[in-house]
This record gives sequence, C-alpha cells and structure tokens, in this order.
Amino acid sequence: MVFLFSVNFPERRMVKKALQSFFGIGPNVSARLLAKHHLHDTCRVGELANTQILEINATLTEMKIENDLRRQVLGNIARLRDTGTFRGKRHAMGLPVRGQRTKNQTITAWKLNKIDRKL
Amino acid sequence: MIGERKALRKRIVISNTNALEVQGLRDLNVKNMVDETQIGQMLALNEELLDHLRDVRAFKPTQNWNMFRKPSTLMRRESVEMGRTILDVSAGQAEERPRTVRRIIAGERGTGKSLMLLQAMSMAFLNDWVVINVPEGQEYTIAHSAYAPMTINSARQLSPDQAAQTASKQSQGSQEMIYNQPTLTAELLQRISKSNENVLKRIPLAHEYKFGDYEPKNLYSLAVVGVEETSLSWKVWQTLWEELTSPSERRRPPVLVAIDGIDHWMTLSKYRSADYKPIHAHQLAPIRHFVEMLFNQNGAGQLANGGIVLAATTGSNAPSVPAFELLLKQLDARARGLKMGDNEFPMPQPYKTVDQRVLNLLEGSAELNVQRLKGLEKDVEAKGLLEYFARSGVFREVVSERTVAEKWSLAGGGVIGELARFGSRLRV
Repeated sequence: MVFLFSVNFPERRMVKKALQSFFGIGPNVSARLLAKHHLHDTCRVGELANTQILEINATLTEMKIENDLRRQVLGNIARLRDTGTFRGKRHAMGLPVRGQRTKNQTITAWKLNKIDRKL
Repeated sequence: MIGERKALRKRIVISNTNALEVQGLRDLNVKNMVDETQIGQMLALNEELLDHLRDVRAFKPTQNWNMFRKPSTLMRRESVEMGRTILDVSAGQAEERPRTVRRIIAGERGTGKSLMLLQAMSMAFLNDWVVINVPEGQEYTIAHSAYAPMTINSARQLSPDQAAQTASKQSQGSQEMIYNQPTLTAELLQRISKSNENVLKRIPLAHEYKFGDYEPKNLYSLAVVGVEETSLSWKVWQTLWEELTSPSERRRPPVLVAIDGIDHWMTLSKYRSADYKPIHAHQLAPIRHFVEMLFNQNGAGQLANGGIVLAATTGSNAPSVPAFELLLKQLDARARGLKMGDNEFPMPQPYKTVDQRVLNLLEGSAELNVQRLKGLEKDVEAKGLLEYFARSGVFREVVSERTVAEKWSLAGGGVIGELARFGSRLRV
C-alpha cells in the first residue's frame, strides 16, 4: 500500500489512474506528471521507487488540487455574486450562466449552478 | 489470478496429437539446410532446437503450429540461400576473415518474414552461434515499460538533479537526451542467457568485471547479472556486446541478431520527455544500438567475429512511416546501381517534411540489402506445402496440379500465409 498525497493506493493500481482520482488532475495533467517523472503509461504504484514516490508527492503538493482548487472555484463564484455581476445573479438563481436558452433544457443549470456548489 | 488470462492468450502450442504423423519427415540439420534438393520439402525442428527457439521467443501465438504433430518449416529457395550464408560466415570466422551480413527482410503481409527469421535462428543454433532475438520491435516503443534518461556518452543512470541539468541542456539544443530501458534490456539478457546457455558457458571473459557483488566468470554468468539486477542491465548488455564482438584469441562464435517489426523503430515512440515532447525511437538506447548495428553507423555494424544482422518489417501491424518506406526504396535503388544524384534515385517529396533521422541512415549502410519476399514458387514450394498439409490431415482435397494452381492463385500468387489459410480451411 503506497501513499500518494496522503491517500493509500493498492500496489496493483496504475499510477495514471491513481493520479486521476484527485480533484484537479485529469488525463492531460496526469500524462504530463508521468512524463515529468519518466514513468511509463502502464506503471503500477507498487513499481515506484521510494525516491520517485517522494518526488511525485512533492510535485503534487506544489500543484493546486483537491481542497485548494475547490476553494478557488467556490471563491470565484462567491466573488461574482459579491460584486453584483450578471453571472453571480444567475448562479444565485440556479439558471444558465453562459447565455443558453431558458425555455427548455435548464435541468443541469438548476442542478449545478449554485453559490455553494458541491465539487 | 494475476496474469492468467495473459498467459492463456500468449501461450504457444507447438504440437497437436490430433494431427496425423507425417511419414518420412526429416529433421533440419547442418547438411540439409543448404541442400537444394530439399527446396519444397518440410523439415522438422528437433526437441533441442525447439527448446532454444522457445527460450528465445521465436514462435508467435498467431502462427499455426498447433495444427500439426511435429513443428516443421518449409524450405524455400531463400531458406537454402540463408543456410549457405550462415555456413559461409561460420567458415569465415574459422578462417580469420570475419564477414558481417546485414539484411532487411521486407514483403507483404503473410509472405513469411517472421518465419524466415525463425529459420535463420534455427540454422544458427544448429551451428552453435549466439542468437539474439527481438521478437516484437513494438514492445520498445509503446511506453509499456520503464525508461530513464541517460547522457549520450555515459552508461550510468542519472540522479534527478543531473537529469534536470541535462534536460535544460537539451532544451538549449546542445545535447540529445538518450533514454535507457532497464526492464526490456533485462528481458533481452534473459532470452540470450537462457537460449544460448551452453554456448555462453564455454566462453570465458576477456577482461575482469565487477558489478557490485557479482564477479562473472563467463559470458553466461555475465548475462545473468543483468537479469537479476535490472538497474545494471544496460551496463551488462554493453559489456556483453563488447565481449561478443571483440576479436580474441579464444574463438568467439558468430552472432545472429534477429529483429522483428522494425517499422516501429523508425518513428516517434509513445514515450514523452520531461517537457512532454514525444521521444523519437532512435533516442531509446536499445533501439539506437540495434539500428546503428543494422545500418553500420559509426562502424557499429562490423562484427569482429562475423555474424548476421536481420531485421524484418511487419505486414499486418505496420505503422505508417513514409520516411522508412522511402529509405527502403533508396536502398533498393542503390542495389540497382543508382546513386544519390541520379535522376531516378528516390528522393523525398518537396514541400513535405520527412524524418531526417531515418533518411540519414542511408549513409553508412553500404552493404545493407533489402530482401523482398514474394509468393512461393508454384510447382515445387507451394505443392510441397500443400502436400504436407494433406499428409497431416489438415488439407482435405486431393493435391493435384489443378488444386495446387487454384490455391496458389487464390493466395495472391502463392503468398505462404494465405496458402496456409486455404490449406487449413474447414470444408463443410
């Protein structure tokens, strides 16, 4: 069981998959992380040397992921509302923000566009 | 169970007791591998040879070994010619005039390139050569195996700070980054040590080496060091290669290097550098080593104890590499006597970027030939193949001139893969 960014992963898990389980890391960022540390695409977490684990952890702590990123996104939405912008009002009302139609097809907006959005 | 499905998919079944036993099937040996009267005959591979070939991964799961009782290959005109080349190189090594033959085996899908390599390996094993095989060139470039940067002049692995320094040098354009592939090199050493065990155990080392706690005494124990310690595998491989190609008073046997699927080595690999740029296959140390050997770059193609370097292209799994196709055409043109400046010498299309790294390989490769395999010859080779299939109980029709001609035409002029498919087709 290997600890990456204080999350435990089983040894057979691929590093790419393990990295993508973090909020803020998707396929693109994980591919770049692997390239930076010279890890091949199908590298398993159990194959990592201790030095490599330390380096990956160091890189992850430098990046903005997980709670830092969530805070940033929620802060952006709150800023829009506080400065009294149109976008802020739409977020507050749960309506589409990006100029979509409101006659139909507003379900996603109603579900997701909130000030205290759950990420 | 981990790896169970993979083992099942990749298993090689060599023999099938449901097939009939073919009477009068002779074994491939040193005499009949150069016998022209054997063209069109199937020659069986004996048990000892099978062990060697299995250890060196000469067989492929997609081949039809599992339909016959005793594994055998068809002797073609090209096989006899290959046998003659092998005996000539052996004789050259014995008479102190070492000869290196370098050849690319190309051809359409199913024309028998991989089996030509297998036949060459069998003949080399029969003559007590050292056989080095790369069964799938693709394995080196699909980024399924570990890689690590190393500087171009040294074999040692870099620490992270050093790697960062050379990375910055590389981005300034002054030094090309070469990458090491420790796991794949260890697998290569494992194949070499296992299949050539008897031959390598008899060869003592010319110099003394010490790798950590290991003190190898002969070439076999040297190879085993690289298998057991993956971090040392590249250094061990370089040492092993130097030893094998060093002219020494103690006779070293000639070396056969067989590479299958070389198209994948002539383009970008799936690996990425630290700044996410794709790595060219020629920046990977093992590939670079073999390519320099095949194309005789910096004299790496002259083996001091003689030998043969064979590389086969793939038909069914070929990536699109225009530069390599052009290179093959240029090699053909040069074999016909044309030179670089001539009108008819194939040149890259203007206004299109071509991979210069691949085209630059033309320069040193004076004696490199491209052997293009075509279909079998109808009356002798194709007939011999279909007769063997019929005797094994796989081909259910009468083998007459008419049926042979029919199958030969359907197989696109006797392409052996297609002919085998027709020979084993189920008749409902």
